[in-house]
Amino acid sequence: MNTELNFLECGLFLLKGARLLDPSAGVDSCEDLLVENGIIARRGVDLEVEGAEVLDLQGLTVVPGFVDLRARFGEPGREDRETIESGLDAAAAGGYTAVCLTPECTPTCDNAAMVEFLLAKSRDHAVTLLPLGAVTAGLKGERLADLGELARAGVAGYCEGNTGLHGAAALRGALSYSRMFGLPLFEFPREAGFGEGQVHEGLVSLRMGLKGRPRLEEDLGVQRGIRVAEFEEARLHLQLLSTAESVELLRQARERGVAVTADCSPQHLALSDTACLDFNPSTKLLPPLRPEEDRQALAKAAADGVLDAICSDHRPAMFDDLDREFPYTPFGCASLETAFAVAHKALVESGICQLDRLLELFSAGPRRILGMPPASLEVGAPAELSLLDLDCPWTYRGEEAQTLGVNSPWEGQSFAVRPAGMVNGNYLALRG
Amino acid sequence: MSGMEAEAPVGLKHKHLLGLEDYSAQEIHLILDTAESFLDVLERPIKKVPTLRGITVVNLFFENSTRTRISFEMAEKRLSADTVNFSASSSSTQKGETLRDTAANIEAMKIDAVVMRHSAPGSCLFLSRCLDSVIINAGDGAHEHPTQALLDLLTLRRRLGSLEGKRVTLVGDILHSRVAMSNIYGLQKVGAKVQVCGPAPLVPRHIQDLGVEVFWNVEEAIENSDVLNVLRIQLERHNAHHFPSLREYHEEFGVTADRLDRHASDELLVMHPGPINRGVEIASDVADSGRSVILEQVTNGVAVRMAVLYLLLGGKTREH
Repeated sequence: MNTELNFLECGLFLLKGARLLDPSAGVDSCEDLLVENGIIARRGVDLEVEGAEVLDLQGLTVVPGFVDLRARFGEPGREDRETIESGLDAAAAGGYTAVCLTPECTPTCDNAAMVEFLLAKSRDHAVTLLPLGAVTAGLKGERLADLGELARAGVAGYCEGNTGLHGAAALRGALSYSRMFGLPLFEFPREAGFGEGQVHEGLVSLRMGLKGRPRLEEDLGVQRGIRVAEFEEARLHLQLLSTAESVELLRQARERGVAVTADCSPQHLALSDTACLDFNPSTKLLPPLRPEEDRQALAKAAADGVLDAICSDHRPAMFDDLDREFPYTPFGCASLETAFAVAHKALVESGICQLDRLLELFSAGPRRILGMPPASLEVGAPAELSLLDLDCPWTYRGEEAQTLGVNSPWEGQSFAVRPAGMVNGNYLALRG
Repeated sequence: MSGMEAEAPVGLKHKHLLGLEDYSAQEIHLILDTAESFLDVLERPIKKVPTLRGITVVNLFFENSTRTRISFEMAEKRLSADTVNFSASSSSTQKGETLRDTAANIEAMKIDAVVMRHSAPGSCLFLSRCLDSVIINAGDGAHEHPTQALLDLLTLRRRLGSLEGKRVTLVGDILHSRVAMSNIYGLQKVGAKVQVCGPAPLVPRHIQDLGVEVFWNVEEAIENSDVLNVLRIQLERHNAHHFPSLREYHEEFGVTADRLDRHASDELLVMHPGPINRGVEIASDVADSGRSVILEQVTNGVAVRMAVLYLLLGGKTREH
């Protein structure tokens, strides 16, 4: 298996032989695509264009480009975990055309200079980096960051990282102020004060002797988020739902018209808390992996439209971070390169939803939350495309991956489908 | 014990003793049977056998422990093993060295086994993945403390014979206890019925999924028990969400002679893993009474640890 990822920057390239698939626009055909100056210039059968770089995409499927709503890299501060370049390479390998970066770098992304640094560092990469600004200065939860300055510097939204905003008053203030700038507020819903649990509170935490995190911690956070959004009549995006109760709260809120959206991670769609029993630090996530009944409720909510998006929640860590006693290891896993394959297995291969719906969760859904128009395969549209191999048995090996993170719960596991690369404007990444 | 040096210690399927969750009833009985033999050794004027001569055991204690560490050390010495004690206060861990590095450095000095006490659940499993040595868990947080459960089983077996159907109630702080889970696994595997009693915030709700009955009323628990295993209230672990005060704890859950007189059967035994807080979880007139088997537990602890060391390490002496 050739895992090398090749990048190309070119003003004129011709994608030949692929299947074009955009279920939302009724597109499913075998046609060639000509990308000229970053725009889809022509679409047709057996195109011949002089001077164009020709790429044979036989066997691949071209779909509207994936956008990730939540990834963390290490630069600046922890470049050993992930640099901007290695993180964006991982995103390209995962089929993403754009990635939202949480503000949890060191120093925090809570000011224009940091946004400019991140944008400058990522400018020449195939994948677009979308920095998220911290909601509070230094992510300390005390006073609001300069959200207007962050907006002018080019953040895609606001996010308080893994801590969330503590308390309804803080969330209300942040939502009320941030809405002036027309950018989404991403909230990690969590009630404060439940302590530093390591895994879901239940039989698994009991058997492992670890402090647990009860569902209540999340459910109260979701309830608070919904009520605040409803009261303020403002949009709020809830990240990383994981319990049956929180998706039920969301369902009810949507039915009465509250402008609240939500996502979940592929990890929570595929794994339940028993995966933690072996004390593998790559299964230690926030929110924690939940029992099977929650996983099923979450998968159903992703399938039937209650959830809007699947985000990778990529949080790479290095060997030294993991080579410790379980309670001292960091939360999270490296997941950009496995997100689509894992979600496909959990939702499509298991018969819970069709590929159409999964593509929405990776592309149209996240773009809508960010206020971006849907990506399109039509002539005249910007070229923002994911390249998928929908018949590609493969095994995840961290040592062959683009990410520097070694904390994947999928090490050595096999999947049926795999992103083969992406096209973003003049840039293309392709495996093999 | 004559001839024990030559016998092959067959029966334990595990290289390590990380916990009782994965040990079978047969393995547990084998350990207890072996411990009974070592109890005889402890009654001799010369309480030492050459079984583990040439074997080096390191006692790696990252948390304070007097009784468990001394018990292990005594067991090792009575088997003629060489022992080294390492405790966190005098250790390199305060200089930021990782557990793997600390352990690997000690292993590089050519040792055979590590007995570890650590506050982090799963740390003994982690260590077993880092080292070639035999690992014996002397308590990893609130996860397991298998030798404590084994010595409790030995004490009960010697007192009661078969434990089949016997009702054993753990009283106190179940949530933070390093003893509770190992006791539940061990007791259930040998056929006892396990019950717990304590303030609701200190009793994990999901314990019932393990087939454990929960009491919130200590007198009701006493009435329905053959054995009370009273756990230490660990003051440093509690906050106002768990129970209001030690005074109230004693009022609600303290095991007192008065309560036992009114509600216990004559044969009821009282255990405690120690160290005891007199006047908190257990009254002095109970701790020092004829029902109390607390000091027998301590004696049996040495024999059980000798048995575990022998069964896990005895084979090594014959490899040469």
